Amino acid sequence: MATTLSTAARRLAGRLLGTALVLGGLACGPGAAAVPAQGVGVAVLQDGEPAQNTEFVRHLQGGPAQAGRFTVSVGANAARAAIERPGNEPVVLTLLTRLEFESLKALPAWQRADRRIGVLLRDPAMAAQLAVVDAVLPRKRRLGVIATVESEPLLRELRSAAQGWDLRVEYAPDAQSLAAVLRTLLPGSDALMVLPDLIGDDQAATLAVLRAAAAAGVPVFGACDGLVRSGGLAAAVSTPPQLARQAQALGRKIAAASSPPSGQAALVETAAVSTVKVNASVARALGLRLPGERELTERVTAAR
Amino acid sequence: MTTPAAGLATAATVPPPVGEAEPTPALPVALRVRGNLQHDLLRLGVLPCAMASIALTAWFTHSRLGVLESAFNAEGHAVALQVAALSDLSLYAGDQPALQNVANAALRAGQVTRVEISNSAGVFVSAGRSGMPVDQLRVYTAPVTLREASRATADGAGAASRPPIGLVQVFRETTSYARERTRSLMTGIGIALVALLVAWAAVRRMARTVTRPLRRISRTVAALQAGHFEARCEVVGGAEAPADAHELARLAHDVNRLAERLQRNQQISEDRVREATSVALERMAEAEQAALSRARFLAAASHDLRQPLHAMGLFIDGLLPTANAAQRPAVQRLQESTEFMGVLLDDLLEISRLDAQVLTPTVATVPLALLFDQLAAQNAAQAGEAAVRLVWRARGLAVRSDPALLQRVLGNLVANAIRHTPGGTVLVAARRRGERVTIEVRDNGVGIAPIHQARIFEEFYQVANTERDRRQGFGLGLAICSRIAALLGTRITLRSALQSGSNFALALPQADLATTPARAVAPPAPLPLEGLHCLVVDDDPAILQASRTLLALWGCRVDCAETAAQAQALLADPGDAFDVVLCDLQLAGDEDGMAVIESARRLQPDALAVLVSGATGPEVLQRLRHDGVTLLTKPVAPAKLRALLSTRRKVLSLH
Repeated sequence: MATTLSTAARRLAGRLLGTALVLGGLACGPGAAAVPAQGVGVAVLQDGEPAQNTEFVRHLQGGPAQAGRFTVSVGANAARAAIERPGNEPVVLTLLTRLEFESLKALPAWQRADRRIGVLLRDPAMAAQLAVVDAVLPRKRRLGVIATVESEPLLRELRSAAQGWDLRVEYAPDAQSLAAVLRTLLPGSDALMVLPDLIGDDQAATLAVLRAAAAAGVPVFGACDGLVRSGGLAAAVSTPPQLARQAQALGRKIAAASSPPSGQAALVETAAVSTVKVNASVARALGLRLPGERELTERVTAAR
Repeated sequence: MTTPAAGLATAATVPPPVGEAEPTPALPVALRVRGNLQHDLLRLGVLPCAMASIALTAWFTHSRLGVLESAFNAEGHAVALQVAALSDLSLYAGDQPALQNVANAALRAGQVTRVEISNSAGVFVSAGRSGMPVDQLRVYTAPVTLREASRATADGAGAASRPPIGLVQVFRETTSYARERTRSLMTGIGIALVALLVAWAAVRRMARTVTRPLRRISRTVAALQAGHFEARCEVVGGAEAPADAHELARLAHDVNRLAERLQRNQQISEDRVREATSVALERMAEAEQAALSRARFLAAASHDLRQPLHAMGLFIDGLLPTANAAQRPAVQRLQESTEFMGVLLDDLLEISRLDAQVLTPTVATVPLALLFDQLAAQNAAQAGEAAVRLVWRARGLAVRSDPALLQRVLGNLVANAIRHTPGGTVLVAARRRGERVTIEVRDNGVGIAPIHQARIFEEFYQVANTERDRRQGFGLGLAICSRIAALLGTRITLRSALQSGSNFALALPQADLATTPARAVAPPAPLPLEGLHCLVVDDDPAILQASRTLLALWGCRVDCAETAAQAQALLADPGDAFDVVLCDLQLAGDEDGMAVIESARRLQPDALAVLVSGATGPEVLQRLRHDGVTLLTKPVAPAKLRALLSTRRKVLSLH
């Protein structure tokens, strides 16, 4: 009887856990397959999982008519397809993560000198995220980061931006082996930052980080709205309309340019911060009294 | 005086004095047994089975219900813990959609009917039906505690020390659980009943196995008790060796051996009884033969002695008138001796008659006063000689009896009393005892020693006559009295003590004096016999001569015949009319005197036919009584013969 009960309990637990993982998806990353799409004034190459990029594409296509012609790719696969297309029409690669961008740069087509490329990264700059941390926890400087070996570009940007911060980085062998690293990292950190890397893009890994931090009473910061809903304290996020406007502006910029920038294959921009998201429940659980999201947004945007 | 038996009885029943008695052993109390063995065995077998079955069933059912209860609660707790484990981060983050998903997922599993997740911050998420009766729900709660993913196990280990951030409540409907509980209970009861039924059937079969041989043994014992020693127990054990056999088989074997022994003893006993009966019958036959031989001896002796004595008496009676003075005393002594011998022979004849049961008492009302008067007259002379005072107390009573036989008995008793009470007193008294009258003959004489009291009614037994003085009798009086008393339907009792006298008594039915017939007057004086024509028939010439002489002396005319033929010839002669025919029974040459009597009855019907015989055998007496013949037994006293002839003379004179 006890065995049957145990088996049933495990089955139930597995069902609940799997369901929770699906339902609780953070939806921070894009899909994989690239599909062409028709736009008004611009050509759009769109990845799979169109539901996640629909709003972005809708705002991108609904914008004012463009002076020149350029191609906008949405997602990593679309970006690879756009780069490898023949011709010299300007290309704007949008909604890429820092790591995707670094991988595109290794492609042979990236080295063509006759094409003008603009890159709009999905996540705000590390400086903006540090600004959010500073706004929420003004006197807290011990910032813990858990990373993998693939996260090195992000760490470089973070280190360059984190002047005056006590940055504590711990490396995990992979996204599924975080427990030991977290037990080491959390006791000495005032806050934890989740990078958009293999850990930040993995739901299970992100939930593990959030649960461990919550258990340790350490606030978690990130660049994703879903992270805040799932237990993070605050995040600097860009909205799809903001990203669409920023992409159009970048397209106009590279379309208006007469030649590619010398010595650099692409014009790279990070996502501008639209708003700061705060989880009031988490703040209450941590015993924090925080300003409103609007005030925080103003502080962060003013700091830039 | 206390008899030894009475003394023993008293000692056995009277408790010993206090302080001297030893403690009396307690008597075993009777063991009362009710019902029968089969029911006892059934109770003996079923009761433990029932108790064990009920106890085991109760224990297993209780255990089963406990397991069900534990499982039900454990599932509820498990669901609550799982929901709490999955809700921790969402509750921490206030992610109500995620919490709703968790609650819905838990509900879809079907183990709970309602899930509620809440915390103190106002988060409340629920899923499932609400409003169900409280008594049909069971609530399980689990605190929501934050923990690391690696430690987020179902049992919540490691989270105990952390404060809870919320609460999960799951509600389980108890209907199915109650149904399962009832089903388990009924299953337990059913198993118990089946076990009981099986136990009852098995024990009943075993009880029958035990009681059947016992019943057979009991029936066999009952048959043995009823005397059927051929009965046997048909119970056989399975083992070869008797020592290994079943106890009941051994018991049956022992009963069979007992039955065989009883049967053998019965056969031996029957053989002994048969043998003893045979011996007893043989001895009885011998005794009867001896009695018959004695009777025959007495009859023969009486007959053979009477013949010469009869002749002697006739001769002496004939000689006495003609004897001179010198001869007369000797003749008188002869006559006296002859009379003693006659008395002796009469007594012997009387005993023979009584033993032959040929006497039939003629029962009549006997006034005792009259009887006592006759006895007083009869014994007055003897009492006067012995200086004995006779006292008679009739008290106006009467009895139903044969007067002559009763007078004979009482006369004998009074004569004996006078003889053994010289100078004393003899009281003859009648007393009423209910419906009977006791006549006592009491004296204050020498008495009878106890050693003699039991034998004085035997023939020829005399207490104080060792010299056999014939003047004191022959010892036959009381023997005759005893026989006559038996014939009269009573018995003579004796109470006596030495030097204190004796008391003989006999009880007779009381009679009413109003029915007493008038007493006959005294017999008239004998009539003269001159001219009476007599025929005397006897094969003994001496008797013929003596009879002729005596009858002639009395004036009779006498004709004599030695044979039946001569007698019949005389009887047939129409010129000879006889008044009396005296004929001997046993004539010479096996001639029977009865033939002469028959001829006389036929040829001389007016003649008085008298048979004279010395035979006193029972067969002869019974035959003569049957034929209605007048009999004179030898020796015939001349006075008796004269009295008889006088009656004939009287008849003739009346004609």
